[in-house]
Amino acid sequence: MGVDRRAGADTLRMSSAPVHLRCAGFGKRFGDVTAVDRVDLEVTRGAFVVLLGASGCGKTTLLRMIAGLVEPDTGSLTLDGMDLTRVPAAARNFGFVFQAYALFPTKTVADNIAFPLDIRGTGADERRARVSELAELTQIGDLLRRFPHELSGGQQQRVALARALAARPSLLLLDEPLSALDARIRLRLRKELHDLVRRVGVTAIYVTHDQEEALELADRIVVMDRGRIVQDDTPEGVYLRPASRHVASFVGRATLAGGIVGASGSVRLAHGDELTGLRHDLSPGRACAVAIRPEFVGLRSPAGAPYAATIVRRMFMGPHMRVLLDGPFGLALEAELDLKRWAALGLDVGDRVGVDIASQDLVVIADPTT
Amino acid sequence: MRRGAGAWLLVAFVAAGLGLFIAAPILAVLVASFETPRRLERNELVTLTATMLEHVQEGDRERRLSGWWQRARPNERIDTRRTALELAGVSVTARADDRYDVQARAVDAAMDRLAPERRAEIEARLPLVNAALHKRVLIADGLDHAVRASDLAAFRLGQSTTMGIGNYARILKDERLRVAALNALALATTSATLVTALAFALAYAIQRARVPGAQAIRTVALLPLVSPPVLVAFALLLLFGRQGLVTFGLLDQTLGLVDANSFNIYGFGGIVAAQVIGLLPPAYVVIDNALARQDGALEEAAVSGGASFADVLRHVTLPMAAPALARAFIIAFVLSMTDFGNPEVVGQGYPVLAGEIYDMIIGTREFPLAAAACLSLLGPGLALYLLAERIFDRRRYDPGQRVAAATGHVVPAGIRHALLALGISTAAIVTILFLVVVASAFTVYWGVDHRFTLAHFLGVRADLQDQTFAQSGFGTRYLGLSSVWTSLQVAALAAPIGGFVALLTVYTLDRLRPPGRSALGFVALLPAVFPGIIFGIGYLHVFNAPLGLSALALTGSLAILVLNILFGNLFVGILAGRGVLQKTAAGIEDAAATLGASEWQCFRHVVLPLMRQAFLLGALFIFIDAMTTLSSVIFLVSGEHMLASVLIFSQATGVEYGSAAAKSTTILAVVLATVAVAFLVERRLNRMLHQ
Ligand SMILES: Nc1ncnc2c1ncn2[C@@H]1O[C@H](COP(=O)(O)OP(=O)(O)OP(=O)(O)O)[C@@H](O)[C@H]1O
Ligand SMILES: [Mg+2]
Repeated sequence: MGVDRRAGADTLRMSSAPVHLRCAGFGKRFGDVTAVDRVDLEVTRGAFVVLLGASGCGKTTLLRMIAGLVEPDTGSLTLDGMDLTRVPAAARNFGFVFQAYALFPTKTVADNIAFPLDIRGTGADERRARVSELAELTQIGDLLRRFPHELSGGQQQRVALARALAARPSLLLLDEPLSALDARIRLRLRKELHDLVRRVGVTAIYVTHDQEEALELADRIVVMDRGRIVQDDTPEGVYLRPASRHVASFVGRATLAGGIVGASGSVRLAHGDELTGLRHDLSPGRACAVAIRPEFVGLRSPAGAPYAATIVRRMFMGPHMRVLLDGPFGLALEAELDLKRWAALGLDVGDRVGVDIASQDLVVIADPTT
Repeated sequence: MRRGAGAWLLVAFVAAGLGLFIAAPILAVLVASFETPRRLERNELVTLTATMLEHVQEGDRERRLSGWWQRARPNERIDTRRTALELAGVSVTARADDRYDVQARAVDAAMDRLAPERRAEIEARLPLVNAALHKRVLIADGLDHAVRASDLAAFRLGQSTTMGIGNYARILKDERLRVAALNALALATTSATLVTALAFALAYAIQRARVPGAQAIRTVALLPLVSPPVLVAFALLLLFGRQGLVTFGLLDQTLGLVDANSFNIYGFGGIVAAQVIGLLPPAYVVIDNALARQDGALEEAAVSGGASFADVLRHVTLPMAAPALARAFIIAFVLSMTDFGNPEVVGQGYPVLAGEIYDMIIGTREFPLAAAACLSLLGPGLALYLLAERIFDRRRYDPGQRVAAATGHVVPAGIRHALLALGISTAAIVTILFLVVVASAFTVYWGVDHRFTLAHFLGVRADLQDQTFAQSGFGTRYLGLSSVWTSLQVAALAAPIGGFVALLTVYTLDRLRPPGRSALGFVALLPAVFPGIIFGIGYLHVFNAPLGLSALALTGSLAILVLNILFGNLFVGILAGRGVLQKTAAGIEDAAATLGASEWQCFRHVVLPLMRQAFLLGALFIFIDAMTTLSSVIFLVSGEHMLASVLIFSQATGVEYGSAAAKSTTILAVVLATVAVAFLVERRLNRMLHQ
């Protein structure tokens, strides 16, 4: 499974920015487990890059290698052309935000934030100024005298961010910084964090396994699977043109149907039906998968519809209704339609329904097996 | 939970056990410490003597009194007659400190002046007065099991008791006791500081620097945990004592550099060395545990914030370990303060308070003073504990549940090598000390005749050809391994019973939840904080003649040893069992109950299997303690029931090195084998259950 680099989308925003950080051939094994497998990664200055992947795919290990907390077995790391591979973590001046924040329990909030400054022997005036600047930036001005155990999770997260930024790091590394928070606060802090990092202008690499978070935050999403990068693209690119079945099902909802490319560019699905009007550049005879996302599936009355299905279940999702279908093509498809449209159809579980599929939107993914 | 009659019976049983065998002895020591002695007036002394003599059979009593009076020495006769006269209100012209011939003449004159019947009356009282003045010790010795030990002690000394803080005041005033107390403080401070530092360095080497051979170093450093008493001090003597292999054999005899009689390990340095090695296991376990639970991400956060190795140590590792360091220090401090074994063996010329207490109990039997001294030993430790509680806010050091290893914090190579060297030297020293004791067990006469022998194990004198030793005949009945057999009997009785009682206690307190359970739980854990010396003295005090009934006396029996060891270590099984119960929700039992199981079936089929590990741990701990403890049982052994650990102590203090070493070696072998078997049994059971 090769790395799919959709250069076209990438250049839209970042072609002009010079490469800031470059990992070349980064690899790490823990005994029998290959945590990171010869990864190449380039990050341009000021970018917000999200490393996305399932649990255990090596995101944290890659991030910790960049930070210098894990020594890579292979490969090198350069920053602005300077080789940092053998530079110890303490000398890299990267900020790191840990999953459980790792605030020093014996220090107050102010002393936590000022820790990188104290280590560097910053003068008292500058220290005070910087702490209050960061406290204002992260909205924790009234908490400075408290100890970490006297803070809520969200507040601790802000302090951790302030501390990571204190020494004006050249790179900010965040390892699932929001995963310890409950859903509502997570949403709010996600937005705040995004704005703050933008305002500071620091280059950031952000690890998460939450695809929604990745789509919202990233300039670029780097999708990892079993220690490798499987796609490196804009959020739109990853969603609309997933490089593999794995990416398609991991980012957003999709039903995958295996098939073979026919002579006319149509795809014959395993079930026997043929889909036409698909957009792809695969040669005939090639095995592939078609990803059908719910929003590409339209429902209408059965008469005159191209395909038919049975409604298996309906799930009320608030603004819209999610409908689980049996068929067509022997697949378990999902459709999403707004409540008015659902009411207008006047259907319920067990009814037959007509199905529209916007073929030109469907994603055709080459199967790696052939 | 619904409580049936069976449950209440269990509650009563547990409460009685804990009250009688833990609370009562400790309380007795506390009370006794306030029993301040007052010199009895002579008339009170005579009355008290008469009361005491009531415990002697009637005819026997008269015979002994008149015998004593007839055999009284001249000075005693004069003393007795003058006292009898004065008590009867007759004035005698001579005073007690006049010359005896002067006194004699004055007494005769006073007697002559009396009317005959009055004189006969006074003379009839002479045997009793004589006994009250001169034979109290003899009388008391015969009443050992009939009268409370503290009453007997007071009687011996001619004192009565009032409640007050006189005993505590005396420790401060009495020059000898004050010096001993200050010595103990200096010793405890030194030993605790050194052992805390060493334990931290070792724990850091193993947890953070991940030195090679960490597991081996840890195992060897923990070895003193299962060692017979005073083994380390004993081994130090064998190497550096007056007949030590190094001081005498090498430096004195071979190289002629020093005189081993003056250049040796006896004294402060020797005690500190013995205590540091002996106290390493508990200090190490506490600190190792804390370092293992410390969130590694903290150190990594410091590193990515730019901190050097020293910065991380100063800002993160040490502050985070501070509560554990304090705890380790306090534990070592208290154990050092209450240790009398090591000071008695290698501390000659350096008296400490614990040793004075031992002398008080064994020698003068001044219970109240000894009790007060015991509790004074705890004072500084208690103060340190309260201080630490104030300083360290528990919440601040709670790692929560998620703890990562600090792989990103790399210990510099130089420091890693230094730590490795420290670990290896510690392990090497401990190993050598143990091996030296084993070697001396097979040696004819350490320091003098280094030929191989099994005599020490067989109980025959190894040095028969040397007539001076052969004829001394000192304590030959204690030479062989028969005391190890007694120890084994006590251990084999106490361990399974204790393991079971611990589980019953946990089940009763945490599941039946009777009223007053928190008080009972508190009592059950008391022996964990009260050092053995107090527990032993308490037993001696309470069970000498409970309620004044000699028929109930336990002292001198095997039972008192079993009970003392059992209840003194019950807390281990209780803590382990409680841990298990807390992890398994009470819901399991409710589920069993809804399936129709009775209370007993619940306990038998649900609770007991869960607690298997706790039982094994509790029993094992009691077993090891029975084989190795000294501080509490030394006051409770008797000629018939002599424990090996106590003999090792007295033989190492004397110069019966071979015999002490043979017992130590045997105990070590037994304990290590038992631990190994327990480990295997546990593994086998585990595998059986999970197949
Ligand atoms: N210190 C270590 N020792 C051994 N194996 C490790 C270590 N760190 C990580 N691994 C292994 O390497 C693989 C990648 O782990 P990593 O923590 O990088 O995954 P991740 O993508 O961050 O997962 P998650 O989303 O669960 O945090 C996993 O199989 C993990 O078990
Ligand atoms: Mg991770």
